[in-house]
Amino acid sequence: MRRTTLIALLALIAAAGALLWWSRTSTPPMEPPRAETPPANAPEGPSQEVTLYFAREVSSAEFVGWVLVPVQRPVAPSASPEQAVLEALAAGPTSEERQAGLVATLPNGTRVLGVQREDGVITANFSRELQENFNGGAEWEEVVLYSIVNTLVEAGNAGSVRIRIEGEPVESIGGHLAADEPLQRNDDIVFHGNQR
Amino acid sequence: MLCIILLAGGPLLAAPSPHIYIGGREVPCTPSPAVIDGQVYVPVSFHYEGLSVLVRTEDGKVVLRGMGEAEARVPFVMHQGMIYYPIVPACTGIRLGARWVEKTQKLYIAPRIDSIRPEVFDRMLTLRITAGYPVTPKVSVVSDPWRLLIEVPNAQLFTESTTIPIGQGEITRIRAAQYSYEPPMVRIVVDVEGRPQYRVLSGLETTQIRLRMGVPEAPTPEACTLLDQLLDSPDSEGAAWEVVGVQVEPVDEKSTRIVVRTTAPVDGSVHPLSSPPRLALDIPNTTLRAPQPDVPPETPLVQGVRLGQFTERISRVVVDLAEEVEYTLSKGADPGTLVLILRSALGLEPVRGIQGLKVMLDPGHGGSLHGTTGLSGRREQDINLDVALRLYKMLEQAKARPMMTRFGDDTVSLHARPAMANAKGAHIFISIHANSNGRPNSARGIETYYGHDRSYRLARTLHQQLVKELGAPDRRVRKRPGLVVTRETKMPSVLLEIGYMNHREEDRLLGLPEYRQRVAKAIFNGIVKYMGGEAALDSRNAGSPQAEESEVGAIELTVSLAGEEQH
Repeated sequence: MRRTTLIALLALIAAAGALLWWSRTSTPPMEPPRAETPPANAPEGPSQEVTLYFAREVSSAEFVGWVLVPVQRPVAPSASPEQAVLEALAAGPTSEERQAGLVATLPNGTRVLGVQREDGVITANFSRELQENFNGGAEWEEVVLYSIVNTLVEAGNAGSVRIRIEGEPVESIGGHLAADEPLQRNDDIVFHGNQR
Repeated sequence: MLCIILLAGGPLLAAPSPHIYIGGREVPCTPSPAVIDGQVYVPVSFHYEGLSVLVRTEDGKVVLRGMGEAEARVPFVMHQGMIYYPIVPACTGIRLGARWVEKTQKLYIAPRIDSIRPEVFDRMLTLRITAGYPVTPKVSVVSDPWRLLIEVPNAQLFTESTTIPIGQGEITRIRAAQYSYEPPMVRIVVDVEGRPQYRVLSGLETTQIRLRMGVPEAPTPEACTLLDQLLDSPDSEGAAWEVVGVQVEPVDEKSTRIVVRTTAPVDGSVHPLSSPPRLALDIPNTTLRAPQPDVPPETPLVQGVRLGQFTERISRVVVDLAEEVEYTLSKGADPGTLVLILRSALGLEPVRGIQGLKVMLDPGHGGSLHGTTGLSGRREQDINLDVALRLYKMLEQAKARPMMTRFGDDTVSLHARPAMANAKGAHIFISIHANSNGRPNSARGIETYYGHDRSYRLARTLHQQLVKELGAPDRRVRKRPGLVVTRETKMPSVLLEIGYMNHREEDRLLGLPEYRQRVAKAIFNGIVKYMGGEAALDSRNAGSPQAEESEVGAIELTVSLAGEEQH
């Protein structure tokens, strides 16, 4: 199914695409950018590596469509690490990452209003732009939704993620996928690079 | 005890003496009642007017005997040379309500409603209201919102007010309250969604009000008649036979057998019910003794089987259906068995071509649930609806039975869409969407999504037809278990993404009525193929405004029609 398709794809992409792309860019895109300046108001202390998931389009004989690509990022220590991670996700990929084909997933203007954690479930509260400015079909909704879920599950070591908009439960962000119950990590759409 | 006697000999507080009301009418009490330590005491000679209560003294206690075997024993005191006893605990012991309102110095006595017991099985509520003395309820149906109102005059509720949540089917909850004390009136309200129907099973004057109620699933005469029959089903003491076993056996890919074993040869009756689709097999004059049956995995047509004692004398087997079925009920070869055979309605009666095929069309998004916006500013929800309406007309002309989740720019929740298809027993479900992604002009073409394996053939057939007739890039048939409309539908279902609205060329095409007609036609032809039809329908029959045929590529067509663009 999808997973096998992806694995087959990896063989191709990893061999051809990834090599090409590594040779083209001085910094491997999966590496953190080196000269990131931390936000001015960040607390003192060593920054922490987190994984963000951005989107990338793939087209091959085996697979056509969008995948999520994990990207490492330093995030300054903060009172709410999950919120800091989401804000980094909302900020989108760096210009280098964009050149490598990565695309921001959160709709324009989406703000993170708060993140709470209870019994392994992270509740992420977004501004209305997440829904109002969402502009996509079934696949793009999957990409947007699981870039949030996968990023948060990994950063917060949580079981699932619940989405709220302006504090309220929402049936769906884009009208294709349900968002009214806690969502678990989806690995089927994650591109694992040449690790396998 | 001692101290009460001592105290009782002394002078009473010069308070106004209490008034006693029975059934809302003040009754005389001489000598007058007294309030001692906040409790109302009455002389042993007090007469419970209108109620059969006997009072005597025995072993230093006052003994009251009420209806049935109800008996109360309370200690008495001597007051002004007479035997007085506390009336509230005495009444409570013999199932009378007694409420003392100190402020007005009034004591209200009335038959007490001791309990309200609801039983819900498969959307039918049986309500038992027990009172200590015969009461005469008045039952009526009230609208806005719909509810059943049970007024019990001359009664006191065991508490001031209470709410019993139900939340099953159309029955929301039961509320009960002491509506007034003067006159004493208890009101019990059953909140329901939809006009309820009911039968009072108990007599006019009774100590146990029994009534059964339900809300017909659709306001059709058939549904009302069916409910009437259920409401009228006998409801008296014990059933003669027992249901001892229920077995679910897949027969082949398209049929399933359900065998019900009883202790004697009995007849059953089957009622098809909807939302969700299910069959109810009622076995009269039986008590349920069978354990919940196992439903083997991959059992065709059946989602689950539930058992319940529907009424005191009817056992009910509820079969939750995965799709529309034809059924036959017969007596098995073994005496005392009933055999219910289910067959796929689709497989049993092949729809000739697409005649009679129930197609639920789902124009994606709509109303305040906006979809994507094209580069030209057109809204996806309008494109989806337009294509769906064109397809609807074609299906109608071909004598299929098309249905729509929305006919206008209506707000329909995501979960309501598959629910509609399930409730209507649609044979296939087609959700029509237009696409967009995170990078304008990066992709164009047709994507087709499905959720369950049973939908793959439909997905592939429609997808190939769209790609072929529109000459659009093939962006694959994709299995996505998470999409709500294809996940929740119980029939073959697909979600079609008919083109990219953030691709300049495809967005322009989707803005052309003629192109949307071709999209609708391609889906229509796909349905015909899926149903085994070979030749695609002639475009004149399919309501196409022109004889343009599918071999014309998208680009050529738009060139010739560019001047007629509407939006």
